[in-house]
Amino acid sequence: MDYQFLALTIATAIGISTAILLAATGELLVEKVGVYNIALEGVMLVGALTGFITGQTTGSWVLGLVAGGVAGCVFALVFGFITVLLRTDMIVVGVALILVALGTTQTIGSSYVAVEAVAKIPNADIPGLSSLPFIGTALFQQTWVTYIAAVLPFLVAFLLFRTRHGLNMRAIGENPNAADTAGIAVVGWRLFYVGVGGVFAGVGGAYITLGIVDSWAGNVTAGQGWIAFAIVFFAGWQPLWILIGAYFFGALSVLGDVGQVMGWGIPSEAFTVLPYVGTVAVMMLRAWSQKRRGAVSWPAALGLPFYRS
Amino acid sequence: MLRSSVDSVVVVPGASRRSLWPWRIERRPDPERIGLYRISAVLLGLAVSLVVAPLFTSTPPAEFYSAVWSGTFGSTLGMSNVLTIAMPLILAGLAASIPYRLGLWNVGIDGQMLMGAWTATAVAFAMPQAPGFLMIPCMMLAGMIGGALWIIIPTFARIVLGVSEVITTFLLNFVAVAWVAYWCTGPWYPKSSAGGVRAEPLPAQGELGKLDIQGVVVSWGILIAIALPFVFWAAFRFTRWGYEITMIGDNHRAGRYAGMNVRRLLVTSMLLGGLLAGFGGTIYMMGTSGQLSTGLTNNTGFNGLVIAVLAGSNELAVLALALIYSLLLAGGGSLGIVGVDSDLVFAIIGITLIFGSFGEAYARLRLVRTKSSRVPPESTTKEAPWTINSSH
Repeated sequence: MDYQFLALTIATAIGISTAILLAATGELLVEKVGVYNIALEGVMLVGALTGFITGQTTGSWVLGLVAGGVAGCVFALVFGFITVLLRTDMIVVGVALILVALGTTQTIGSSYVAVEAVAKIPNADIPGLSSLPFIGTALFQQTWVTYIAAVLPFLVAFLLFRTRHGLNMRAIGENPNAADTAGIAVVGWRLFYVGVGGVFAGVGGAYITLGIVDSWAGNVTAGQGWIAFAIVFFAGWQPLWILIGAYFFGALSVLGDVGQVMGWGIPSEAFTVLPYVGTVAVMMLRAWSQKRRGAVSWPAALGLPFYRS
Repeated sequence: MLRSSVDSVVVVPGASRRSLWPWRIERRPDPERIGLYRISAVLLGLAVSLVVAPLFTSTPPAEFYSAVWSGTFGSTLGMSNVLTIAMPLILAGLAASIPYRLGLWNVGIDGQMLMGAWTATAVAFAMPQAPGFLMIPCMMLAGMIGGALWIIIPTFARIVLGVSEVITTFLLNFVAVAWVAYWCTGPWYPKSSAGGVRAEPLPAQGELGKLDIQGVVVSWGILIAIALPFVFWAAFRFTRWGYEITMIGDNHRAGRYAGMNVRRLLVTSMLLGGLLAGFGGTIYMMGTSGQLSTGLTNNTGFNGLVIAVLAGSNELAVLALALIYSLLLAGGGSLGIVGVDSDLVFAIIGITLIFGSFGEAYARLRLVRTKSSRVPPESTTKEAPWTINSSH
């Protein structure tokens, strides 16, 4: 394998994991305040279709991403309204909203199937760095979205662990009653971060249709929302591990292409399943190691409805 | 002027926030008739979405509804379709419902159905000369085993390692689809290919016979599918195993104190879920197309999950809801004729579930007006206002 090919493979892996990285980072924020948005797949689908249609009509990928983010935010807030405010079961509502997203996007998007995106997200080479041998090709010839997505986990880590507001967020997720007593608006912030997570996932979805596959198809996300959801678990609710988890997924995704180029003679389906099998295996390994160390790392109030007591 | 108005807010802590929203949601002390509210809300949601659905399409409402009618009650073909769709849906509902009794989520029903159908197909191809009375039971058994095997890893991960079964069961769906796709395009590639990813058809004696009830034609697998909810309904009421599951579903700890092996019951309920899903996929394949394909399940698993949630812990409700949703799915399927994407019906099913959640929330919660925000609470009150009328 020559170096140029390896560098391009790494570049593809990083690019392809952008959507998942965005969605998982947003989901981390949501889970840190004690809510899990299991409708992530649906949010991404809504963002993907809205972003694609906006890109087609306006011809601008920036507007497409913005529209995807807004649509994702609105859809996630529907989830937030039903679960956070009305205290219903998050899994039930998540499943329902995934079905709603699946049905409506396939119906509305049926006239956009197999149309090529006019507003593809262009690569933005970073001057200087992109001309470095190997590293330049592998890391610094991505889209702006990919760069921003790679920086976001660091910003989230700073927010969560170095600011007063981050402390409040963690308090909401760990002990909402104590946070409430301290004057923190538990329900308000939970809704706010469900919306923020929706923006992230919506932009991620729009990135799939405008930056990765460059077209719309029914169920185009193909489980990426679920994988993002799993990555948060795998990451042990640590922002920087989310980065690693997402790139690990990207690496698994491109392995199929590598295999075909190298002629390993393994059926393509074996590579298709790698991200899914890999995610399940890694989740189990992670849980096993956590169990051995006796460390429980999820926010203590994750998934529990909040009632003032 | 400005300062004084700010000061008057600051004097009363929290008052500024409450004045924006002078209501509070809290639990009803004695929630009752939750199931009734839930089902009424579901029916309301059904009605609303059926009225709104044509607006999402460019089809005139009259054509829309006449297509739905002829796809369901309006024709014998429609009724055949309804019952054929109901066959796997009832089993999917049970496959989700039984683990759900213990608070476990089987989101991987589609994958288990495919793997059950795959295993059954493998058995059929291994004994192509066997007579039907031998082949059919063997295939059904294989289907059950295949489905149950497909849920073993998530079960292990959940029970032993504590990994959420919601994610693992769902992700394995993709693996099952890829596995079936590999066999359909590779070893079992059909001699005469006819669109879609399909395997070589089953031997003719491996297909289920058809019943003909006054023109409504459906495979006799529907009889098993309709009987099974009654079997489980009875099992949960009249057997020790059913009693233990019901009891633990209400309260894990109480069951453990009573000497029940909670872990064993969790495992059996999960495996039973996979087994029923595998069986559903198998009889659906044997009763309809007679060949394995990746499109065999078409979201049946998610729909089954919706049914299980709405039915609560009642297998007869699973049966009733599965029949209702089959009507919906058959009606939605017939919309293809008038140029509407039949996936619209998934949205309707999702919306009914959301309405069900609303109904349940209404039964459980109430909106309470907080102390009037216009008049500041007396500053002598030591307790926070919300502790006065709080209920646990």
